[in-house]
Amino acid sequence: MTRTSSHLSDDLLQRYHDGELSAVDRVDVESRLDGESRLRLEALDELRGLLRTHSAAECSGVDFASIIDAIEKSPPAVAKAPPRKRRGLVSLSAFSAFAAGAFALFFFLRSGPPSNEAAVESLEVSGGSATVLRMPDDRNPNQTTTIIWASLEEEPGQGTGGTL
Amino acid sequence: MQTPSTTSTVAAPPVAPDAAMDRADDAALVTRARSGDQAAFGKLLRKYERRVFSVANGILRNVDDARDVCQEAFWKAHNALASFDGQAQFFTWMYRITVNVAIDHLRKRRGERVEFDDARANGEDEGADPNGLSPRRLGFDPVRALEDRELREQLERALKELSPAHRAVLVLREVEGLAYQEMADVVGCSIGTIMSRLFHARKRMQSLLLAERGEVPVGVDA
Repeated sequence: MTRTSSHLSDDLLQRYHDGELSAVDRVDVESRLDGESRLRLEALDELRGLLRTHSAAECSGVDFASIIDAIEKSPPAVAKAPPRKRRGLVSLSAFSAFAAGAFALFFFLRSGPPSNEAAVESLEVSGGSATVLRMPDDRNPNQTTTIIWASLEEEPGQGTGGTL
Repeated sequence: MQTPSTTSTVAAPPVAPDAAMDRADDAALVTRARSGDQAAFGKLLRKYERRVFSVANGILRNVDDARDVCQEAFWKAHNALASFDGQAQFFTWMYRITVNVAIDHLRKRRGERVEFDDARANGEDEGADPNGLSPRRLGFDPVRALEDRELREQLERALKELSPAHRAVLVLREVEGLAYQEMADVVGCSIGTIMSRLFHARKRMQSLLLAERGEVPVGVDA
C-alpha cells in the first residue's frame, strides 16, 4: 500500500482523504503534498463524486412508506430472550443437571452392576451442538442404549448474516 | 485522456453537519421507541430509509433485491429493538442489520459462500497499477455524469466486477461517509482490514474505470 519513491504513501493519502488523520498529521501531509500526490487525491475525489452521484440517482425514488406505516401500526416488539452468552450458560447448567439426573436414574433402575463401557461423544457445529451417549446393555450383550442430545442456537433479530 | 486539472482542490475531510445534535435526536427517538412509541421508531426508519437502501443496493447492485432486503431489515430492527443496548449509534446498528440481511440474501441468491477472503479478493487487482492509487482522473464532472448514460453504465459494470465486501466498504465510506471505526463496527472486522479493503476497492475501481474509458492503468504496459 506504500510507494517506494519520495511520494506520500497511499496509506497516508487515503487516511488524509478520508479525514482520519489528526490535525497535526493533516498539516504535515499538506506541507508534503507534491504534484503527483495531489493528482492521486484528485483521482480519489473524482471517484467519490462519481459514486455519490450514482448512488443519489439510484436512491432518488426510494419510498418505504407502506412498510413503515405497517411497522408503526404493529404492536411493539417484546424483549427477547437473554443474550446469547447468558442464555448459553443457562442452557448449559440446565443441560448438565438434566444429564446428571438422567445418568443417576439410569443406573439406579438397573438391577445388575453398572457398566463402565459407556461412550460419550460431543460434537459442536456451527449453530448448535450434539452429544451422543452409548452404553452397552449388560443383560443383552447384543444391544446398546443410545441417547442423543441436540441443541440449536439462533442469533436473534439480525439473521445469520456473517462477516464480509 | 483528459489532462487532469491542476487547480482542483484537495479533498477536504468529511464533516457531518450537526452530528452531535443528530445523535442526540436519534438517542431520544430510540428511547421513545424502546418504551413502545411506534411512531418514534417510524420516524427513525423514515430518517434512514434512503441510506439503508443505499447500503443494501451498494452491496447487492440490484434495486429489487435491495428493496426486499430493506424491508426485511426494517422488520428485524423492529423485532430486535428491545435488545439494542444504545451503546452504538442507531444508524450503525441499522447498517449492521442491513449488511447481515444482504449477506443472507446473496447466499440464498447465489447459493454460495459470501465470506470474504481478503487475500484472494485483494489479488483481483493483479495486473493493475503496481504502484498503488492512480494519479489519473477520468475527467468527469460528477454532476454532469448524472446525465451521462454511458458513464453510468460503465460505473455500474465496474461496481458489479467488485466483490460484495469491496462494494460494501466503498458505499459505507464514499457514499455514506462513515468513519473507519464505524465501518469496522458495521462490517464486523478490524480497522486495518477496512483500510486494506478500501484501498484495494478504490484501486480496483480506478483500474476498471480506466479500462472502460479505453485507458491503460498506470504501471501496465500497453
